[in-house]
Amino acid sequence: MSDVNVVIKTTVRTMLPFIQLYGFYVMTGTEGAGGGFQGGVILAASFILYGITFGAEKGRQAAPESWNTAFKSFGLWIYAGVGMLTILYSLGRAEFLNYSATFLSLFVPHTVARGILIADVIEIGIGMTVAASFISLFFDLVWRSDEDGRS
Amino acid sequence: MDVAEMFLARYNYWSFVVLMLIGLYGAIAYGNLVKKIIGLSIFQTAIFLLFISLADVGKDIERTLGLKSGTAPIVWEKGIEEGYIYVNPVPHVLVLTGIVVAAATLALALALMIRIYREYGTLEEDELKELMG
Amino acid sequence: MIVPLDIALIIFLVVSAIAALFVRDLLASIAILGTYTFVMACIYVQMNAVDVGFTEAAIGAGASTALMVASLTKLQRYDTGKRKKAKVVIGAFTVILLAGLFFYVIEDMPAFGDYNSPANKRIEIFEVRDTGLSEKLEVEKLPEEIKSRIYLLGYNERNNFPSLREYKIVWNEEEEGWDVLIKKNETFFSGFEKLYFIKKEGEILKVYRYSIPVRWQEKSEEEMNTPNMVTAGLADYRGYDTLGETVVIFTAAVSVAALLRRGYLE
Repeated sequence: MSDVNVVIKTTVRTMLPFIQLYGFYVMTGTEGAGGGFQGGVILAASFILYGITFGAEKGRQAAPESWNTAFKSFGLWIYAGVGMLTILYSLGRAEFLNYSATFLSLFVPHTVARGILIADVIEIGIGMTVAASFISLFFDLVWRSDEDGRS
Repeated sequence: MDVAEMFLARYNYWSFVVLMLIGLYGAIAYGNLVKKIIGLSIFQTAIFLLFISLADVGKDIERTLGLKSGTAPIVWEKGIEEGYIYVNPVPHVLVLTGIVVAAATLALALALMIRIYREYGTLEEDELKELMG
Repeated sequence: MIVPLDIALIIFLVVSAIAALFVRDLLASIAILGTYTFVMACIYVQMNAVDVGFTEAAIGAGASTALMVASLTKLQRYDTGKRKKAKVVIGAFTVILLAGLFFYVIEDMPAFGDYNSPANKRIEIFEVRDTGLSEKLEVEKLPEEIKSRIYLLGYNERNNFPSLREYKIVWNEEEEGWDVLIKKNETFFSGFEKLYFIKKEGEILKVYRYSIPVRWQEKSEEEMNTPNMVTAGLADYRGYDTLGETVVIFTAAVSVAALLRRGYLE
């Protein structure tokens, strides 16, 4: 019985860094298919795979709850923060989430500033929130606290 | 409208109707709560199929306009010169939002079912009606 | 969009949907649902929707199936199979009624893969008799009858539509008609953009109105410097909806934590 487990554990331990690298690659998806949601779910899938193979205790140690809560809220802060920044920077002339009215327009033209903001700021924020949410959901549904044996 | 036009040229709408009605029947007629959730999931994916099939372009284009078929909505200069046209990207955006919201509501429904089973010990609808009073 | 492959995949979908509801072992039922969502992702890719297929495969066949199996460890595994007769009759009656209604509706929908359907390109508003109007269009002036009729239909400034005061008329080579371009007053990018389309067929002039995807396909590369139209539209043109969707995911995670946790976790 332990022989079979050795094969599975070694395979999963070898595959995990490649899955996470692919997840980060897909997250900045403006040159091809991809985007924030897809990359976030692939990152969450790597942690879920670790939790399935090695047990829920070690899985929760690899992704502790304080980090999950921090990433969940921080992703949302980034998204709404960029929206508030556009209102404050143009002193009320531009609308909420009008990406042309930020600090980047002083250095590069309008179109390139919009491209940079979409690919590098907004999608990473969405990816963080989605990944942390799915990890937290899975471990909450699976967790067994041993008070009466059943949770 | 003759039979060929109503059934062969619009077969994607008929497949959407069949799948949606299977999901709806599963949500109404079965008593187990997990089967109801599965029926609702089939219903939701059938609706997304309707949106995506409205956006597709290019079934008879080779015959009528002399172009090749449609291609994915990513800008591709060489393809436009060869004669491909883009499919409609607006329904893709709406369906992406829909898929993610469907997954979130599924997770919440599962958490509610775990609490119900912990309290009452059963997942059938008729026994729950008697136990809840 | 290859038609025989499409029909084969749809038959597989119908069979597996019926099987997922019919089986009494719930673990097998969830596994069949996993293959159902996976084949649905294959259909999306075959209909040239690559971003949607990617998301459905990752979320539907990946995360949803894993969450359902994870929660099944705390629920009962077998369906007892008891069903009340009244519910079966009501279910069958609803299904037959809705299927009958679709026969009535289906003749108004556009054909599958139509190039000029109202969702994809343009929709016809009205038609007028050509009494000397096409000569005015060739000198690039919009005749008064068409303008007043457009205002009467409701596309005027009181309902927040762009006005027809400054316009340009351009002859469109591929479609053999006249494009009417209008300047919208936007804060940072105000250029000309196609709105109406006039075509001459014999004695009648037909007036069409372009839909929104035409603007997306032509201007998203130059306005936002990203080749992927779907991601650019999701983050910029429809950014407010995406903010709401992220809040929904966040709320679901917080609600499940509030329902199921006992005690304090660090």
